[in-house]
Amino acid sequence: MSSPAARKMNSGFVAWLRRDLLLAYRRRGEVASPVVFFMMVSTLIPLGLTPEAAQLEKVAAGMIWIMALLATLLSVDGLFASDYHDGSLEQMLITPQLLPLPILGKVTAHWLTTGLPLTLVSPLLGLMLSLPAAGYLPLICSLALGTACLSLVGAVGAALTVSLRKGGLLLSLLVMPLYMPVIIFGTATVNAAVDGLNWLPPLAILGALFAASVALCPLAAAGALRVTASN
Amino acid sequence: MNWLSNWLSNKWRSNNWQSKETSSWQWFYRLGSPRWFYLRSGQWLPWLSLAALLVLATGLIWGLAFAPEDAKQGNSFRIIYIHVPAAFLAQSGYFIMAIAGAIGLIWKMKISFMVMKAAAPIGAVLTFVALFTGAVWGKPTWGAYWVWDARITSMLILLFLYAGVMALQYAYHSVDAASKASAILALVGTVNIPIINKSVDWWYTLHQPATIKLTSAPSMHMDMFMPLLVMIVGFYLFYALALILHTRNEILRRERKTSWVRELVTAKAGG
Amino acid sequence: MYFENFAALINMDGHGVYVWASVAVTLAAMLWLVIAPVIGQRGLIKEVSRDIQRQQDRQLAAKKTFNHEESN
Repeated sequence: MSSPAARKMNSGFVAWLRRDLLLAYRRRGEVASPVVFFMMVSTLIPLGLTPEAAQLEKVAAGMIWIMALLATLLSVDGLFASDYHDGSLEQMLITPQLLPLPILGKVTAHWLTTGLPLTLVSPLLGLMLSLPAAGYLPLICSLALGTACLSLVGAVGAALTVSLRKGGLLLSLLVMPLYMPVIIFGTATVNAAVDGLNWLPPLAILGALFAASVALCPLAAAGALRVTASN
Repeated sequence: MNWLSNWLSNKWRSNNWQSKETSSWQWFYRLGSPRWFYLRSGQWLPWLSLAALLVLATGLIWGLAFAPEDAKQGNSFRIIYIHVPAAFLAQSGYFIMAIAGAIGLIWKMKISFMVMKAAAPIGAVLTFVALFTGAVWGKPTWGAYWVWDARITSMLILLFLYAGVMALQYAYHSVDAASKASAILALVGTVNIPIINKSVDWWYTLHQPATIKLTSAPSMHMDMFMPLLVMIVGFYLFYALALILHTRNEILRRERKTSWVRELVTAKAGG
Repeated sequence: MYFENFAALINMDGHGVYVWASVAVTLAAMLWLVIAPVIGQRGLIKEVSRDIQRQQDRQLAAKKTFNHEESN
């Protein structure tokens, strides 16, 4: 994989992945905020609904998934924003590499700094919200695949609104319908396991959504960036 | 059939905008001229309005007053004559909007983007009508105004998709960027609509095994089905009418600096 | 007609409220979709004619100053 040709092919991906991870590391506090948000609002659930374990058990899977979705939605806004403001997005647009590759690198870095921590923290929240034991492994698997889908689809929305000033709210409006299949199958995975049914079929569909997103979203985001970021 | 081809070629030759070679795609490129579309559609409007009015009136009176009532749902089932066509057009309208966006992106036709912009609010209003009539139909049928059934949920998501395209249109100052970004969003939405519909369908059957299908069109009696067909045709005519009206305004708005618009306006303002 | 008389048509065995409310809202929405662009067009024409008027005034004013400068 280290022949000159191979290096040229994926260098866009790896270079931007490393760059974004490095930038995230330098802003550790900022990057941790989605996870902190995730944990804090999950505390709101028993406060708002009920502390009874029997009731929480029924809604735990869905609420954890909703919180993960909201946390990702809040963080995806900044995917291209800082690069747009300091000019590196323009540099990305004029590099000789295919544009979807750097975008995929950035989205992967975003998932590694947002989706993956959310996934790893979710068993703790499952414990706090009385998630039945059968639900933990499906929760981790579905969140891992699901947050990756959310990052990818969110990237398309971020690309469409990157040059707007109040883009954040519009971004939420744009990607919400696109997020709905992901949450449907994500919660279905966990709830199936909790109910004692086979949880692999919904997970497989989630995997299919992920595969489709990986293939198509970078292309859509690239097209959108060419339109919006070169005003 | 010789008289027919002679008649057609004479018509073609006497046309003001004819050119030397009569390629079969000429009509397509001609359609791309805002001026041609504006002037031509002005000629179509009276006939289209009349047709839409007649067909809608026929269908509505037939469905509301003459069709038999449903055995289970009674007379409230008559809402189907508005709900189903509106839902149909709401869905088709989104695809029309997306196709217009795609044509604009691929062939770079301004008018296609104008049609896309015009289609958005029309589709959104029709989606709202479908949701409203669906909710009002739900009350006597299921006892509640809002039920999270698969079709209503999909309609609601469609409304959000429309809202997104409209919001993106108005967010950008540059008309070019707005058009292209909305077109991309509409296309992304189009790819997602089947996925969303199937997911919501699957989600609904997971949670509510016994459902009353809101439209039992295939198993409907002919006497009840015919007015529905008429209403669907009527709604399509109405959609075309509304789309042309909105597109004409968009043409005037965007082409206001051209000489033909200024001539038109001076003539209209003076007369 | 399926109903006995006009009153029965309005009432529809108690379901009349729902049916006629839906019809009313639908017709109102459809009328609005058709009437709003017609009204909008009138506004647009006024706007563009004002634009043209302003441009002509500007041209006239420019010509006047040019003649004035020439004669000086």
